[in-house]
Amino acid sequence: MAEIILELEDIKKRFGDTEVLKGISLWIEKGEFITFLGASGCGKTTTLRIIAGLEDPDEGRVRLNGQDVTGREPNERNVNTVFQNYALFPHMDVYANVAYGLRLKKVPKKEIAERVKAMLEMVQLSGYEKRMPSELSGGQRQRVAIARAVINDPQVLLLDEPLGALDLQLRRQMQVELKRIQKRLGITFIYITHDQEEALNMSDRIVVMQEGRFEQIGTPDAVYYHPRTSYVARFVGTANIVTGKLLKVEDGVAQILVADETVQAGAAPGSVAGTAPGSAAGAAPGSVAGTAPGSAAGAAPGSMAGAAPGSVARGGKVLATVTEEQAPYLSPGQLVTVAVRSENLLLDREPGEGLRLSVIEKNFAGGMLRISLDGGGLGELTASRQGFDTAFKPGDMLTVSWEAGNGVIVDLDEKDQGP
Amino acid sequence: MKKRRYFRFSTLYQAVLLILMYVPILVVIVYSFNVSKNTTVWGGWTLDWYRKMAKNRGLLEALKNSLVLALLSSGAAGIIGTLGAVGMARIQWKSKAAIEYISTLPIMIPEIILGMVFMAFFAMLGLPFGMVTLVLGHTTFCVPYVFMMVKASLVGIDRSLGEAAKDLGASERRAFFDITLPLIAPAVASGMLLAFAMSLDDVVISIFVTGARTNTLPIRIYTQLKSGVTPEINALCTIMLVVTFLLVGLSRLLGSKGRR
Amino acid sequence: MRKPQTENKDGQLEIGRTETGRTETGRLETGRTEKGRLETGRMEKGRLETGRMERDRMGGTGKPKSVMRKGESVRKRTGRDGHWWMTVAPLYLFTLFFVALPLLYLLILSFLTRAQTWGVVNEFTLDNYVKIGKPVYLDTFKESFQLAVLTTVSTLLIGYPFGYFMARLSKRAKSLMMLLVVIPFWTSALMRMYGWIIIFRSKGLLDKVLMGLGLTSSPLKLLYSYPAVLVGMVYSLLPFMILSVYSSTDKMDWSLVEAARDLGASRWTAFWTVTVKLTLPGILSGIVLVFIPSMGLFFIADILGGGKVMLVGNLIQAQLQSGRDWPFAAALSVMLMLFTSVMIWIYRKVAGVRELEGLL
Repeated sequence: MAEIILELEDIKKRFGDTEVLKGISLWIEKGEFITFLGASGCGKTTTLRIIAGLEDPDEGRVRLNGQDVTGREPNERNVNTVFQNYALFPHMDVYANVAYGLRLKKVPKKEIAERVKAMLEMVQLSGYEKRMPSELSGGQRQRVAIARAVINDPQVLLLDEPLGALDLQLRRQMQVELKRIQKRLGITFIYITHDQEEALNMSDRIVVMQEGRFEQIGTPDAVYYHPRTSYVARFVGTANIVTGKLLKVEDGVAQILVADETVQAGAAPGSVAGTAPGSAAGAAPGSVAGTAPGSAAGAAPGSMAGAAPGSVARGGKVLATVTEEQAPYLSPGQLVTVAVRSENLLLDREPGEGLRLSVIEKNFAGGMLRISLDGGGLGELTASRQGFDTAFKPGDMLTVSWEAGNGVIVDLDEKDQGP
Repeated sequence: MKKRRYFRFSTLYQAVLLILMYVPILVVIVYSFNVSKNTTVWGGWTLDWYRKMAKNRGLLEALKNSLVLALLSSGAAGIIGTLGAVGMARIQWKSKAAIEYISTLPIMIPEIILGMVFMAFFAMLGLPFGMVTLVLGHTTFCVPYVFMMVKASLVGIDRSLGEAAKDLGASERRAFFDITLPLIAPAVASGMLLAFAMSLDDVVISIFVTGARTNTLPIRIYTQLKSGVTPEINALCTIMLVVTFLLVGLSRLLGSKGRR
Repeated sequence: MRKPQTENKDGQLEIGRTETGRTETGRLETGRTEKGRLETGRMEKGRLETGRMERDRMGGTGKPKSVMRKGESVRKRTGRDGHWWMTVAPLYLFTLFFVALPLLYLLILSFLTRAQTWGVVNEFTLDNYVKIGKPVYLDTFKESFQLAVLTTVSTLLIGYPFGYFMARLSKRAKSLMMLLVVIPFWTSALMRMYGWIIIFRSKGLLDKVLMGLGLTSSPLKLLYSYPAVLVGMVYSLLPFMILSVYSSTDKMDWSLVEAARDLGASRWTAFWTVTVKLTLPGILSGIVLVFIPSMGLFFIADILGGGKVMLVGNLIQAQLQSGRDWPFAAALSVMLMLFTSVMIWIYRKVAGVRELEGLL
């Protein structure tokens, strides 16, 4: 295992009555590109500021290269930051900005000149030395900010949403460039973003944060394909979340019965998806969210389907993969939550195994067709398709299902699974 | 059609008002070149009054006093106001708002009260009336100008600049001198120039806190206006006008630079 | 706002395992933390305020950066950040000693007794305030008030259209106009009064022009009259009104006026119902900025009124310089200050703002 460069140990921080960080711990390896991903307000910027020394944690330790630096001033730690708005000194030209850190360290003038030159070359800004920040474009300012931080040879480089202010095209280009710089210098990058695409593209590991906690830490692959919680599944790519009762686990595949208990039972008995004996409706009254007790429970078995075409008939059996770690925590009868990416939803007009849902609307955006499906008490489900598809119209009744491999069980014993 | 008429009326209105604003000033300037001593008679052009003024010791003494006074009080205000504004942005004391409020009172309450207050207060302290009391009195109303200007410019400075400097290895003090100070410098200068102009112009407070032997220019003009004026005063006013003109222009220039 | 909890160092020591002892800031460093540990009240100065700012930032409410970052400097490390008190010390000392203390002295002075010959006797009395009630002095207050009201109304009527038109100019013309308005403002007030003397003087400029045009046959004798004082007042204070109105009109969202017109309001209705309402803060601040000084601008009345117009300011000055009745002058000043404070207070209540618009 590689050398640990930064260690956060049970960091807690509160501002007034708000607990911003609720005890987070993390080890970061040398040369790693790690991304903190989360919505605004999740505490990721505070974490970064604590690492930089711009903020002190209320509790917990920060160790840099094995050394405890908690409580030290920013200028006493070998960590540099690329600020969200770049924070270039407006009264200094590009050269003076980049040279600032070295000047403070009293590096000889000649060496400063050489290193600044080399650094500006690396960020492709040679010849811009005399320009003032106000004369630069957004992308150029970004490069100066990176050069200014990187030239000090930090052990860790912190980047606070550095591409947030750039337009999409420039952002993609800078992503590539940042990755290139990181590989070349071998510096540990701690990167903050709320953009999942950025996180997935650049990181070695992603830390998904929510409300001052780490939801999941893992490679982009793991976070994307094996979200641990429904929050992660929703945040990283669009995922549909359904909850149902676990029927059985067979060959690593879980069969789950999903029921919408808001559907009034007792309508004309249908015959949809009634594979399992004793439908979900009859099981564990009140255990499925949002039900008035006794509304569905105790109704005639197998009566969950709505009668008239196009009406509400939502329940059904779905599949999900069970990993080896998850297996011990699963037992038939318990409620489980399954996440499925919208692109993996299979839609079929014919009745079959799966959920019966009606199409609410379709909209086409960014080369993807998104089909919204009425899930009633299950919430709205979304399917996405590459390209423009005219096959389904709003009001159509469809069977929705997915391959076992695409269903992921999430939110399983959340409290016990440490990061 | 309608738009055009509206445009014409507003232009006319503004033009007339501007002319009215400038007429009294122009009148003073024009009469500084009047041969006749009496302002009711126009006797032709001359520069005599400027020559006479240049030889008038009392007048020059008053001018010197005014300049020294303005320099000292705007200088003191520059230091107190700048340091105060910078420090106030960092500390979170409960007394902060109260002190800020009290410190700006001198430009909020009628000048005559301030003059009266200082006269009584300095007399109670037993301070000899003269330059010292003048400087103290003027500094009180100069401080708010600097303080408010610097405070406004600090709001415009991104906090992360100071953080960036510290992040790059600067101590708190170093970050202040390298980053904050250069960025607020235009505001400091413009505030001080404003204070300078106000001090140079002040008559009300000066009348109350000056000693028998210390004359400032506005006091001298005031007493002459009440007794009898010679066109030397016109000449002096014209020169003062040019000076103020330059100061205000400079202050505006610096101010707009600082805001950018 | 600060939490009542105090720093419970000992309590924390017992629960947490101290690892590195304390840092130079006196903060206790604890090792591993157990659940349910005491949330010690490490609430130092301003920390809670920080919380609010920070929450704003966290919420991503799109506030300006400077506001969001504000909480940064008030971190715990007061040990090292603490030397900022030195920078505010001069301001604190100067303000307390040369502004607060003198004003306090003024208040005390107003309750003291005047000495027979010169100076003040340290004897408490209310006579000075009782004296203000005398008809002579009450009349002065009344006259001052009347003139102030007249001045304020005149500046509003003259200045509002100017400020309003100014805000509708192009950007370049705006800054030029601003400069043109400000320049006379900063030139010596005495010099400008002198200009009016030359104009108003008997057989002066105005008389010559009017007689030359055949509008009048004899000199008007305007100087040393009430109208002359009023002109001088309005003239000196007009820029305050113009700038106040301008700054609020400039900030106004013109599309609201257009919306009103679109909804069927006539030009005038739109002006009265939308523009005037929206520029009200500017109007109010202009009124305060004009009204307050007009109560005390004694030298205008002195120079242009020639002693015929007696204002509170003149009264105070007379008490100080010839009458030598300092306690009475102090009482007059206190009354004047009370009066202006009430004005400002009303303004703040009505306008709901703290800073006067267009002051600088």
